[in-house]
Amino acid sequence: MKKVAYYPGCTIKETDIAVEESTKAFLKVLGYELEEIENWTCCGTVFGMTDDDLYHQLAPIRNLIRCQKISNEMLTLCDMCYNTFRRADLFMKDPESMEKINLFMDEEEDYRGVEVYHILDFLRDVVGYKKIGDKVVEKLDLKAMPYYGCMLLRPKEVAIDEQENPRVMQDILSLLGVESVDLGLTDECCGSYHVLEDPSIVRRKSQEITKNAKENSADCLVLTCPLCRYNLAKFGDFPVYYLEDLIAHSFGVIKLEMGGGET
Amino acid sequence: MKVGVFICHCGKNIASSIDIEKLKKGISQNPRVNYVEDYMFLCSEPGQDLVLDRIKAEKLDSVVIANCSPTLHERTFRDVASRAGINPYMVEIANIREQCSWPHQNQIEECTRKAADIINYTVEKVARDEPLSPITTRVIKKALVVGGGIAGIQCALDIADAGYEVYLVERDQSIGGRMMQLSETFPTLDCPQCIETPKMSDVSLHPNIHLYNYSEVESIDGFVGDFKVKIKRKAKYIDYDKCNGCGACEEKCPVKVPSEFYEGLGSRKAVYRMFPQAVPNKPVIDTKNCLYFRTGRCKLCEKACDLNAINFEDEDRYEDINVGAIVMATGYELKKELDELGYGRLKDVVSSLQFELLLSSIGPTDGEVKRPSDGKIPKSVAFIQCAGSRDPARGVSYCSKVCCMYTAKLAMLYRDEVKDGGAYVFYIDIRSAGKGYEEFVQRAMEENEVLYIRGKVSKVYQEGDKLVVMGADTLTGKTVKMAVDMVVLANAIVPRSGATDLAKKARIQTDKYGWFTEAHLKLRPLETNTKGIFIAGMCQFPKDITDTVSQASGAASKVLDIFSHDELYQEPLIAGVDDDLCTGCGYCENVCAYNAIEIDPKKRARVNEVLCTGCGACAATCPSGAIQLRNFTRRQMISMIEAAEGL
Repeated sequence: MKKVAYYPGCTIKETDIAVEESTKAFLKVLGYELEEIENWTCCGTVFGMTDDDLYHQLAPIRNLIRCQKISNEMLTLCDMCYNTFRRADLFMKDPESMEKINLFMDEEEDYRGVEVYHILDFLRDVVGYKKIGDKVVEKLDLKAMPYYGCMLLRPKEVAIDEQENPRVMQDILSLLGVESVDLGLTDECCGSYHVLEDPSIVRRKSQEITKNAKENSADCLVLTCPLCRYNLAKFGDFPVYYLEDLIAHSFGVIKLEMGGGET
Repeated sequence: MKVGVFICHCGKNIASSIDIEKLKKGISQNPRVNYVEDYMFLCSEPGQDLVLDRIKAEKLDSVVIANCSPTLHERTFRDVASRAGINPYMVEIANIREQCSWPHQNQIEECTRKAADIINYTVEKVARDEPLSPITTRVIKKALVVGGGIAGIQCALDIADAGYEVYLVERDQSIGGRMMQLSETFPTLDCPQCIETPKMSDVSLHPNIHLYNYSEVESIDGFVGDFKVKIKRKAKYIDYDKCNGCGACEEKCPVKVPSEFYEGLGSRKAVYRMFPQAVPNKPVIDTKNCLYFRTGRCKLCEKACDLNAINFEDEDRYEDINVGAIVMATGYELKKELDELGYGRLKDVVSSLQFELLLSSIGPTDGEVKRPSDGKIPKSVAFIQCAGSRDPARGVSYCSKVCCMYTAKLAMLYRDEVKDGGAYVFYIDIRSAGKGYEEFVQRAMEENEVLYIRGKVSKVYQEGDKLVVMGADTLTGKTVKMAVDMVVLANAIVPRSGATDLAKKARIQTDKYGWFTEAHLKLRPLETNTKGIFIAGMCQFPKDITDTVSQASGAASKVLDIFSHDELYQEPLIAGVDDDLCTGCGYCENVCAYNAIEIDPKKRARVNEVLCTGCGACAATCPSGAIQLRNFTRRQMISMIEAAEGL
């Protein structure tokens, strides 16, 4: 059983702990065990966009430093956490930022660099499709719209796949027997944190996305991001599944209640 | 040795930053200088006359012209020297404009001092110059034209009509090029087939034109007047002497593959002509798709051919030709990587060329506009201009130049074809500079009621059987979302695949995008930096048919200029070898980018005078100083440095 350093993040732990369970279950089948990073904190959530905004880099870098105590590779399930960590790591490629932040956080050891994986590129690049395909025991008879949202693909430097034409989710879905409906709004923003200040924006965006999925005759949306899922499930009026749950279900390690298209 | 110095004011370009009187006085102190004069514009006729007069009157042997960059007027004053009866290579240019007055404006004192330094060290050089005479070469009066589109066709016809032999080499089965794929031409709405097919047939009937279809340039050696070119004539598997172009083989061929000519919207057979009016009107067999070549069985075409013209034993042949001049006319293709607009993923998002073909009478739908996904007639079409053009982030930075015009044309033709259809054009700016062009775009807007929306499209996606176009309307400041039946992209225009390889073979330059680089954008747009090789049409940069044909005729006239001489003269400012010093180490041979140096059996470097460009790489490499540039020797350089240092 290979150990993988794991950063859960707040949303997974607080609102969608079940997907962590599914992930642990199917990764076990694939021969991997998650090892949660000690003393992790919030990732910082939104990447600081100002060049000299060192302060907003502290949270992600501190978590990455805590990760590097056990591994120089880290896995996360959340798209938002993935994006924040990858960009923080990228930010630290600049020697000046590296020096400043290391000096500022003198209570922590120096940051050396951690390779951040999202569950999707982990499955593609570390586990490999063949191994996943071999473990499928139940093919799913579904037509799904893979939904990438923003955080996995933007900006280009941290995109887990080809930015305007991602394939990784479709490739994994096809291993599970799921037909992908991918010509529509697969990478449209769900409205994100507008849900806090003006939910009407999120309602409009989410319904745009789910309407598109329906029009293109998908049975459901499939995604990985717990934040997107919160918005889409709350406002979208359409079945939304975690990819991890579908994998775990088709591996036979959990039993997923399929709502079907009639909700 | 009597040296004269002439200082040009270049209007105010030089005179406003340099104190000419002071400079003149300073230069006249130089003991090597016998005569100094200044004038407002030396390059003008009175200016040239002044130099000519003074050379004669003062009996000067050599001259320094202090003016602009030598790329502009070195030639001018060498000619003046010739007319005055002295050797033209005894003239040197001291560049006191680009290298002095322009970069140091408002620093008159320093600038004047620097100008004096530049002139003084140039005087040191000219004092050690030797009289040289040009190198002569013979001219083979035959031309090679690469590419059989409208540029290559026009160019070949012009040269052939003047009485010279032309080899026209076309990579595909037929000549005709992109123009044959077009629906109509702007702004006159001439049918391109009607105006191009007669020219194609002229090519095939012309006694002076050797048409090599399905052929490629393998290598190019030699130099202006005497190029040696190897042509690969790809196996066609059809005996063109026997074939009469009846088409029976094509009918019987059981293999259907997407047609390149139809841009994938229609199919062709494995034995095929690109289109019914192809020239030559005889097919070729595509071995990648031919059932016989893939499986060893079929040969239905052979059975269908009454003339026994099918030859499965055919092989690629190589032919060496000898020509005096070459014209590149390799054309363009469309940028395909436009994922954000759904190109290549969404079936009803088509390229401009695909839409041209849907409107074309020789297209896959016989001119009826049908969308690719379900064959329905689209009732609303969005045209997206600048798809990849003017987009440094994801596409190319330049404007593809013809898209505004052809988009107006396509929208206009669509509205004529589908009376109840809506045409919407997303644009950044309308660029319609050209005779009758602006009127044409206005006509599309006003008479054909094409709706123009100023703004960029960010995304196109499928929703049911509609395509949703998301974009901005920058005039109202609002986002636009529009559901349409079909989307037509004005894809960025990029160089034809393989053009860069060809450029390497011909030793001509390309820019960062792969466009062939002209010798001078303004003054020598038809020439390349390799003498005797010219460019025509889109291979240089996007341009419309009018400009392409003009450039093709221009390139032809450049070729004819060469052919009007029996011999050519080349600059003698090239490398020369001192046999006593040369050890035959071969370093020079290794660094020469032009293959101009060979080590002879006696272990001496030999310079091919015609291939040598005088770049100086060999002289810098030579450990013994045996190989040096004529009139740019080490001794000259050292004395120039000493003069500049005031030693």
